[in-house]
Amino acid sequence: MIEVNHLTKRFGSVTALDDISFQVESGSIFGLVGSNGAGKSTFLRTASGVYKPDMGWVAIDGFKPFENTAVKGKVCFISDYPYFPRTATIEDMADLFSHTYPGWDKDLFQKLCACFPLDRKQRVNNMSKGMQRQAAILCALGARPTHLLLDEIFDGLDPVMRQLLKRILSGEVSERGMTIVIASHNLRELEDICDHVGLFHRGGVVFDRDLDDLKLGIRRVQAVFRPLPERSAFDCFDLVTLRTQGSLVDFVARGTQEEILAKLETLHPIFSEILPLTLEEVFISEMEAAGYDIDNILS
Amino acid sequence: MTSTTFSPKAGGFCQVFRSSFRQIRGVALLYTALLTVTFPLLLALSLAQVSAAPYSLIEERSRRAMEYLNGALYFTLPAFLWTFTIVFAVSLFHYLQNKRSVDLYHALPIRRETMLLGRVCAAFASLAVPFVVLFLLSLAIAALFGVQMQWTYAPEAGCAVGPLFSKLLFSLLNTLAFLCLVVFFLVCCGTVFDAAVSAIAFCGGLPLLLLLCSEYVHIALAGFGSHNIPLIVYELTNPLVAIPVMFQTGTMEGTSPALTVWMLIYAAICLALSLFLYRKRRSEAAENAFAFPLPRIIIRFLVSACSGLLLGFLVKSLAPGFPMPISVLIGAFLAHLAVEMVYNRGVRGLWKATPAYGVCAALFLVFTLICATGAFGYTYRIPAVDDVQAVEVTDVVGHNHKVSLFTQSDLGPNTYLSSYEILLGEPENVEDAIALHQSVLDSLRARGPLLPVTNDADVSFRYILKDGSVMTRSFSYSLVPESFYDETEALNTLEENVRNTIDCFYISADSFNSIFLHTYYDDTMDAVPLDEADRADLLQALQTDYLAGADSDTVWDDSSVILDLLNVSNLQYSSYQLRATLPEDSILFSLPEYDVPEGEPLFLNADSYALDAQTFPNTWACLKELEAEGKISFPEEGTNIG
Repeated sequence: MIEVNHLTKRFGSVTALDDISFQVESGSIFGLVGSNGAGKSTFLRTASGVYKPDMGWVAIDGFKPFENTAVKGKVCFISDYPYFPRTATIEDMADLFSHTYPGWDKDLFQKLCACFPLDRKQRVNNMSKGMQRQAAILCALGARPTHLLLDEIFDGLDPVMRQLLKRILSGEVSERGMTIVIASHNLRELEDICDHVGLFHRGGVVFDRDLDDLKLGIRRVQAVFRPLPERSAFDCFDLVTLRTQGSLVDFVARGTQEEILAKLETLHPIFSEILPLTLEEVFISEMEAAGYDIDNILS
Repeated sequence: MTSTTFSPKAGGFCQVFRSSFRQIRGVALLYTALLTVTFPLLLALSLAQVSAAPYSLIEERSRRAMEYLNGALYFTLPAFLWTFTIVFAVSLFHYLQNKRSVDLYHALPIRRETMLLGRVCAAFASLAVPFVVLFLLSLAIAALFGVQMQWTYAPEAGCAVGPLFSKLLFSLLNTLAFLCLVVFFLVCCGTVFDAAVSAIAFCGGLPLLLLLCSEYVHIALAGFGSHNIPLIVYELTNPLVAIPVMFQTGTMEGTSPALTVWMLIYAAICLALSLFLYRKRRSEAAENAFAFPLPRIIIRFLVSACSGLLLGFLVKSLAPGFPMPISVLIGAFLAHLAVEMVYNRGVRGLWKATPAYGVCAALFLVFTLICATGAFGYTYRIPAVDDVQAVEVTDVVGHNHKVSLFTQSDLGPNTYLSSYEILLGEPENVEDAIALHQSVLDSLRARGPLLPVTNDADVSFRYILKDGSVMTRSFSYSLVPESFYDETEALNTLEENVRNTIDCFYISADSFNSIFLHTYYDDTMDAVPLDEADRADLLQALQTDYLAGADSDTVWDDSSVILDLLNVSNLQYSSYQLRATLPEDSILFSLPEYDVPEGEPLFLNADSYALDAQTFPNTWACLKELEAEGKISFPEEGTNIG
């Protein structure tokens, strides 16, 4: 489990993480979303022990990771731009990881090498961006960490590789109970794989919630009324957003489909339709409800 | 919340070492190739050439091997060891200056200490192992050519392995110290550029600042004369000062053990500081100018202070009337702005550090004020007559023909003792010297409350006190009263001073066996041997004339008769180097620098005596008597064969 308690990280006058607290349960895939500069990467670096918190703490299975080799031995972090020494090959990196990570699994590494079509003797810096990311994934997974922290991991991967990665990650979670945190702007990819999401904005956590709860507990309704009821008529809904265009009312409300339908019937719409929300729409709605200017939040 | 730290994985250090070594193996190969050419290859070629010569002697080969290896060690330190130290250190530690690489390395389950030590060890091993192996190989090659090996150095006695190993060890530890210093700056700085600028500024700035400060105190504080900071102080500042040190003691003997040990201590200090700071270093400092503010403050101070003082001295030499403290402050401020611009990469935030400059400027002005007011009585202090064992008055314009004593060891260079201009020990004479000193101080007081920044100190009063301590006060000619020169001359002609400072009182009839009479232009005559009685008479006459106030300087002209006392049978030294004989009650025994071991031969460089009948009547008469007896002949007066 990853516990975050009043975590604050500052860079000079800029507060990248401002007193955030949340938990990531073991054996889950946690998606971190948020605008540029929201603090996602800073959080991952702090959780992996690269950064030292200014206040508060982050703990992996109860221990702080900064300068704690035992904790770091269980955590792998792949940054948004993975680094490889100038002349290093995948084999060199595997050699480095195998001698530093106690859980290094040579067989797993060989198996993964068969999945990812990479030349292990080629210099990694000469590879494409996507291939470099694959190389980083190979090494990180070979280390068999209990916690995997991934920053924009899907960037540069082709659709096949993205699917392969998702399958591998899901397998690691289900088979070994690995805890994975993925920071990404790509909500579509996260929607497929994450079971929990947290929204960062300007160094704070707007919310963190189970993805199913988030998606199933919120609905978009489009209904046509003639005549159009008063705005107060919709107060019976747990509204997130509401817009009207002529006789068309378009609103997002929390609640089960059945609850929303029952309340809608009482308003006698000419036509009504309940639509599922994509993760992106859920976030936009939630952000709007929280009073954020969505145009400047989700890129 | 539990905060626990665990021991690093057992293989952590080895892995860091191995991967670091792998990272620099290409450059290490180049370094090894260059060393191979420098050491065994060129030595083998050199010895092969010597061996191929007809009648090749083992001694010649031994001398060649010793000289070559000695020179190669001097050459290798700056040319290869220091150069590749920088290359290896930057290659292995530039990850600290890159945000992406920090993400990788600081996320690895390796403690920072292990990371740093593993990399330092890899860099040092890459430097040291080829160096030592190739040096040993060179010795083996020398042995194959029949070079005689021995542990200690003796002239013409083979290849001295001990001194060579001493220099090898010094070079290695010096390299280690330099490596640790570079690593320290790489840990402190956020970019390689800032680390390089800071390391250069530190290595050059600190010794330069010491030199400039001592020079400034020398001219700003009246009375302060000992501006030559001992070399050991410069050596303490950084390993790069070692080269002039090694060249200064550049003999076939080994390097000073104390200096070698200091290099080890220096390395340990830098490494300990690097480890401490690396633990504290924030990963996000990568690509920022500095990870810690202190080095930036130090470098800014060093550069500003050095630049200010340099400009101050420059302006003083070009426009002596311009107040030096002002030019120092202007120079320091300009340098301060320049350093800020370099570290800030522009003018943004340029004025933030101005208060720091203001503090330093204020301290400098306070210090200058302290100097100008006599440094709390330092300038005006004068010892009591009863406390003084001896006093030496040094006037750099002074007269020649003063005794200059030295010892000469079979194994080392000449060790010079002081040469004396005015040297007095009798209480009444000491009192006269103190009165002269007092006249200088009275002249200073008459100038008002603030003393000016002057030129180099010219006149020194050096008191050897009865408690064994030495007190020296030096003054510029511009500060002494007009009567000073006449009073100096009065001291100069005191009988005690003549006995203490003129060389003919330090020799006996046994010190020379011949004389050489000639003129300035005619030195074609031969030296003439004299018997002991004649030598004693001549020396006695010369001493009598000096005691009567004769001064050879006043006689010099192109037609003067010149007398040289020679020891032509002196095989080891030149004919003009005479064995000195000190009277048992000589004042020299009370001087701190007179520490010649008992039995150690003492020599002086005999100077020529220009004579005439009026100034040196006794000597002239003695020589004429010898001429009359046919033992010598006078040169023709005014002869000019040039």
